[in-house]
Amino acid sequence: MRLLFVSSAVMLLALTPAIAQSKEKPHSATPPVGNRVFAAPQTKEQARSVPAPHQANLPDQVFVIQATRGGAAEIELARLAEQNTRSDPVRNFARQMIKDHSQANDALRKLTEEDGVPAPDQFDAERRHVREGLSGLTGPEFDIEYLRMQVQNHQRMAQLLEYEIGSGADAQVRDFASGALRKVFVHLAMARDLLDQVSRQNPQVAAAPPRKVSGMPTPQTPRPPSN
Amino acid sequence: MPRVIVGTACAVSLLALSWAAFSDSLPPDASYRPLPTQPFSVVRAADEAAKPAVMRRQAELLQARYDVSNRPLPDTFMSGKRKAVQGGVRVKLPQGVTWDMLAQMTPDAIAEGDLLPAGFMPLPHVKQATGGQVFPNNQIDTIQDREARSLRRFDVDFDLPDHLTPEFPPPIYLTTHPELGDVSQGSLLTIKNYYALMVGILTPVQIEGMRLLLTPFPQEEFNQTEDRKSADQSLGVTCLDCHANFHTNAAFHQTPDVRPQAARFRLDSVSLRGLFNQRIHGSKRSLRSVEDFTQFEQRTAYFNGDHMSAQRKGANLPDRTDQVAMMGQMQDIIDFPPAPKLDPLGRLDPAKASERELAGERLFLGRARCAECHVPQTSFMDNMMHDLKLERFYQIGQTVNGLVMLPDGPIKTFTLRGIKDSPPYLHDGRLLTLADTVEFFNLILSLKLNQQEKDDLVAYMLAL
Repeated sequence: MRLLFVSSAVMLLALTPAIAQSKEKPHSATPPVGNRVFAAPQTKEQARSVPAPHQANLPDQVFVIQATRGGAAEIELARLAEQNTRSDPVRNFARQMIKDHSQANDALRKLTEEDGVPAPDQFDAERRHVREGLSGLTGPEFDIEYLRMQVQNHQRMAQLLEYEIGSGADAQVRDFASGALRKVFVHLAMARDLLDQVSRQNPQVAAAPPRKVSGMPTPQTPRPPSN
Repeated sequence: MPRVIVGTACAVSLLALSWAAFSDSLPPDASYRPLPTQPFSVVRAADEAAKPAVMRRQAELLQARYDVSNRPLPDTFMSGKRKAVQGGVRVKLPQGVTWDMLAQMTPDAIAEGDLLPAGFMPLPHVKQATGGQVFPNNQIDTIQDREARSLRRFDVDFDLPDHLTPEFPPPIYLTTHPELGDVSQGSLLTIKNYYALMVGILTPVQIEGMRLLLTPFPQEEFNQTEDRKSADQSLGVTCLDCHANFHTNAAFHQTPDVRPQAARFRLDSVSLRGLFNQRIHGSKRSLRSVEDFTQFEQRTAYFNGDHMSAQRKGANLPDRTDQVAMMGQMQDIIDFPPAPKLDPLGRLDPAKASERELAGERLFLGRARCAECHVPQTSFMDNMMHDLKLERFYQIGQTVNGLVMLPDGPIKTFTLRGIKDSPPYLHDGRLLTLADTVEFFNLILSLKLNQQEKDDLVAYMLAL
């Protein structure tokens, strides 16, 4: 998992006049109202059915760890993209990722400290593996693999954020997820559009067998002999 | 295959396999319902304490989105003549915006300006994180009175005012007895009264189907375990607790077909009238027979598409060749309400229809494009699913009362026969009146109708 950008939900609000003028709160200002039957028994409450601040439940912890790892990897891979790409649009996209994810990672780090969730490894085996796979590529080969991975990562991050919004107990973490989700969908659309563009420009590279540095495994269907 | 490529392919597969071992999936509760962690008494006390805030939050959302006042149309009633049809556009506009201004704007401009009226966006469940079936008070009170079975939840109440829901109890029309008209005798069908009401009208197979449709079975929120939302251990709910008298009482729950929880959109109970002409069932699942629908509802409406949870609380899987068949046959004889102005192929009879209704029909068949999906000859359906692509008009990913605003995707075409009887409208009930539906489609199909044309379309739909 990767990414995250907004420094805080409040900052997102300030930066996005469109939300500010909306009649509806972009995310709830009221305390989380989840299904109590699944709450951890030892959860401290500030009022009946309202968890005390920084009462991170298991979904909060899972979210914080996965989002932190994902966010760090986003920046790392975007830096790699800056070096290995020969395409200006891909470089601009990578710079946008660095900018947005740096802000988000800072906000996330603060939440992690406040909630007492142990800081995860910045780069776990999964991300290291991806980085190694990508680092040997350049030009269109790199672009297509990098962007395919960006599409997947943002899809997965959207599901992670939605999971936190529905299951988290810590209001701050949930609000962070709410604020971030909108931007994740913007990034996802950017990555998808850019991938389409680069693939059209490099049809032979796009049609090559998948390198699998960027995704979950797909079944290897044996091909019949060509003749 | 050249050796170099073979070698590369092998390396690639090794890489791929090792990736799988590193990947962290989301925790199981992202798809599955977890087991309870708290005793029932603790959960109930906490839910009851939170209920005022939950209901207040939903009321604020409804007030911000809609005019929910009681403004019936003059001399316009639902088919049983027990309830007036509400009129007027109820979706509120953003400040300084008019419907005509919106109609002139492009989807991109509306999205960029955040100008889509909030009432056009997905309507959240009253308590998104918990979800589940929520019944209107008229259903709760009647079932309590007749069966001493409680459909009341301690964590939430129904959210829409009574005047914005279907008449109760709704009339029942049978394809096998058009000469009788409404056979409900003004009663809500229950397990106690169905036999006396229906002997001599229905066949033995139909009566048995009806009995099963009126028999309570355990459900996610109404069961005997600690994971329930009824104060007492509950016998469960019946099919007709939502589809009251085979119509709808506007009871709602969440789609069983989406995860995680925050993404599950609200579902307004659909009427079962005219099921005999309906070839796909379920807003998302596109089931191909009423038998499939009847069978699978135990997995979906009752248990949210989670067969694991159902097993613990008491899954009831009706026998396909016997019970399901009878339930299906019963549902297949539920007719639409009479529409005396329509000819046998669903067109207005010019001798009976008003000028405005006829003008509305011309628009419906032509410039307003309604009949491209709501085909008169096939009961105002096309038996297809369509994606209205509403997300062209707003930025997805916003969270409102716990529901993440996401594209609806393809949803089945609902019939418009007897449509005045089944507010609220759209699959989640986000539109309160027929006038709202006209404004909605005027915008999303870029129709640019004038006020007279909009009024004519409403007049026409009231005649269906």
